[in-house]
Amino acid sequence: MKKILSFTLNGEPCEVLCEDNRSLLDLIRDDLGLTGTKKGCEEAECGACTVMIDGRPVNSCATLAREVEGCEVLTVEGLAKDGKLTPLQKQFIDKWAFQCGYCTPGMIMSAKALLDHNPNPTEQEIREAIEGNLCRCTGYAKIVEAIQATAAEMAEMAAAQKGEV
Amino acid sequence: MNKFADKEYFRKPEDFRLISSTESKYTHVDAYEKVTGKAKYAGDFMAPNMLTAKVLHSPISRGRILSIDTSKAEALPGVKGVLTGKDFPIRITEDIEILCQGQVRMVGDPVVAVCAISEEIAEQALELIDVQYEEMPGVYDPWESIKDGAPDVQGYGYDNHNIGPTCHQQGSNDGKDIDEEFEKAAYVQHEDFKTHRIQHAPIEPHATFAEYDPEKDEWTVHQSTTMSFGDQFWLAHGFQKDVSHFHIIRPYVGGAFGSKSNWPYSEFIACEFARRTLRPVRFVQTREEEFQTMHGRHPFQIHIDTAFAEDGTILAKKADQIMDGGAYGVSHSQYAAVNLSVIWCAFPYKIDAIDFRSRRILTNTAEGGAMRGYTACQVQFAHDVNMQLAAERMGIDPIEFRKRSAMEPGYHSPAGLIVTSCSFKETLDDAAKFMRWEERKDKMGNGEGIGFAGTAFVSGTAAPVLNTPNQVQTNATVRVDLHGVVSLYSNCHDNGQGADTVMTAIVAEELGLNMNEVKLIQPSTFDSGYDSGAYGSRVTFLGGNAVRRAAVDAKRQILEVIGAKWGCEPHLLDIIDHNIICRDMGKTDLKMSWAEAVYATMLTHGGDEVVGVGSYYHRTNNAQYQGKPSNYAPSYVFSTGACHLFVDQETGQIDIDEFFFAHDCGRALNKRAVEAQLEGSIYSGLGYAVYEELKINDKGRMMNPNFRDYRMITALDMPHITTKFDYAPDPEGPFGAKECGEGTTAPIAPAVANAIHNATGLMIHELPLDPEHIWRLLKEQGLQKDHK
Repeated sequence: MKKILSFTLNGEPCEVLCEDNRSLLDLIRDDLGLTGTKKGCEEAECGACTVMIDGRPVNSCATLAREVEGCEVLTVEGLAKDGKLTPLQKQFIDKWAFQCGYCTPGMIMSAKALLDHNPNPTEQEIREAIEGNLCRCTGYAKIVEAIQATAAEMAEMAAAQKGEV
Repeated sequence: MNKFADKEYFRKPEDFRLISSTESKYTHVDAYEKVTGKAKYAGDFMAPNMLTAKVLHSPISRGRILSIDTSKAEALPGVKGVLTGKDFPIRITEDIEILCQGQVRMVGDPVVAVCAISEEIAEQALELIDVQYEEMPGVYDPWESIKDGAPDVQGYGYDNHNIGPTCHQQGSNDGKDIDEEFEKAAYVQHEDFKTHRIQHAPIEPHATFAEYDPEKDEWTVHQSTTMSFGDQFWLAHGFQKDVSHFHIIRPYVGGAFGSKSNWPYSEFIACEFARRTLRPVRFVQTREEEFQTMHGRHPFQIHIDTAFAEDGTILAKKADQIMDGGAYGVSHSQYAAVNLSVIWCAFPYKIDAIDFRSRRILTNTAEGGAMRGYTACQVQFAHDVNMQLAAERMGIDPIEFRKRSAMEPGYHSPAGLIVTSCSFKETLDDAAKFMRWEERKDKMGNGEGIGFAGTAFVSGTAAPVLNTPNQVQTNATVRVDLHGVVSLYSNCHDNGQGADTVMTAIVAEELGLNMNEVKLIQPSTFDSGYDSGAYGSRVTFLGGNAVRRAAVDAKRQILEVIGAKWGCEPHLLDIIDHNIICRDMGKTDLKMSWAEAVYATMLTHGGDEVVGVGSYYHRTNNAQYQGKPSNYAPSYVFSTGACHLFVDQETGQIDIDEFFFAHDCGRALNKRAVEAQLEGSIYSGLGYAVYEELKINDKGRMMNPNFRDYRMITALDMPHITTKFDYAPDPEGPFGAKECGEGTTAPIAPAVANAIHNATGLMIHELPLDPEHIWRLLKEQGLQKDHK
């Protein structure tokens, strides 16, 4: 059965007619055309479809679209503002933390969710946070490095801001 | 073009600004798109009115198709078409049917295709199709398969005892006789090895987005591919048309590792539905389809006889290898598998008398194919562990033992291989040094071990796959417009390894420009020249040389015009940082901007644009395919892997403390990309060595075709990694570069096996080295408490 679904997508209100059994991934990709969120397995195993719902990282392939009624959904397209990349995105570039790039959007969303609630994670915490995001190219070393560098950069920025005050 | 032409215009190493630079001016050309989600992969293409295609697969491994009833599926509202085997009468690569026509040969064989207005309806339609089979006994083991009276795997009536391509290579240097070498040997070793089945598992599944124009009778196909001219060729063959009807566009490719150098049934099906319905058709394969049908790594069984002299050097070697080819691949498309697996036996040591045979056997299991280091991971696992065992039994240090027979620059193997640049011994020394081998080797306790492995690989494979003039493998064009803006037309396939970035950098380097001033034309079969694909570690070496020659051809035309103006030899001019400069004595103060020089050149040429063309080939012949000596590649690479680990002798669990990798890739063009490739190789090699295995049951059914049960390595599993590269530049590689990232997966499994052996004394002859396997070995062979 179709219902009208209302939620916030990348900071903007979104109202869409949606089948009860539609997955959030198919809604985002096929109905709303935001193809940055990737489909790798449809079994909640690879993490390529990771998005954030109310600040938590979830596999959108295993989430029913109707569950996000009233929620805030953030996809990779919602990160850069006015063409300005976030520190995390910049560090992924600087550290060469992607090759084919297919796992990258999901990886970045998991990393963002981690840093949002734990700005100073240990290497083990970083690895745990991205454990559900499979990457077939990099061996993860440069991804971990990019997340560590982002944490360091944001700590520096925070310290600088404090200094100003 | 003459491959030696224009070398006097090549950028000299002292003037490199981008090559080997680690500064930020070396930019990843697809960076912004990949971190923002804007990068479009084949499955991201959509259009209004688009249809979705899906396939019903065989549930049995061998049987006759008695009947197919699609009437209920066709009646389902939203279904727009159904196809069966009779709609595709032409076979691809000799023995592959797009949809099976009368018989199925493996679980997962495609049988019926549907297309519908949505994925859900297409899936419902599949459930409404009724296929009746008469099940027949299958054969799942290659040794069983070649026995008299074994089932005919394919049922095509070939009288081949299920034996596909075979390669047998014998030869010697200096008239040596292999039997005599074995007779005079101080030590002869006979060993058997076995490897398992795995899959590429790129995170992006194969995807096709096909559109058809009935007026032009032309298809436009966005395909997840690393071999777009192969797709074009086989689509044209399948539809019995010439290649001009197929425009294959390669969008971003989400990893391949060998799996996308094929022509999946999905693209033929999408194209046929697009033709019939005149609507765009999308076909994205499921993860299960990826595991079942996309040609993973062949399982091998290997017997090796080696003759050693008193000092440990190798006198002669024989190998008899069979691989489980699965249900398909009798033709030349799978010849590379046997051919390459013979070549690896000859590496990376000087062996003056050889006798190597490989056979590819058909069974009713999933087809095997090219996967990252085509057969090198299997063969070199066996041949390196063979070396380790010999070193130990002869009482010679394993590093020293390998160095005594190690290939050196200038060595000609009886296999026909000519070694040019080679830093194999240096990689062995660096590995020993990193692991503090001399200091630690006698001090490790039980359960702690260090293992080394040395392997080699081709840098640029010889075969251009399709027939090309002069065996050319890559054509490239560099066009300079009147404002000096440069466009590069290159089809070098980027599947994530960074081909687009390195090709852009090569042009910018040669023309003295910044990378963002070189515009890479998004490749397709109609937009830019031939490139045979991203396989056989050919992209940087062959493609890089072609692109470099195209850039230098454009550069030469400009320097000739400006040289004439200045009254000096054009090859004494150069382009450095947007300026033409002069190195002629007494004229070194001459200078002209790039834009001005381009304008002047066009004026001199009557207004014609400057267009540089380049191509590259490695001239060889197909002698190798008949088992005769032939220099397969223009250059070869050498690697040493080293592993330090601890083995829990109760559970069989291994804990890898650190992994070191030294790789002779000549001069690294893009150091960060090379480092990333090596890290990825270790990841991939560890997956093969320890974690991954596709299990096939006694009915030929794959038991774990999903990420959960297949066990991919996660971020928590990876050990600490250190890499070293950048050895002596290669004389022929572009800017001195050689292969990186494919053959580099080969030394991982033997290094882990040798480390486990060092830690426990266990004799290891089989992969994978998962805890259960180690535990079984501990039970069978017992704790080797005092092996040290």
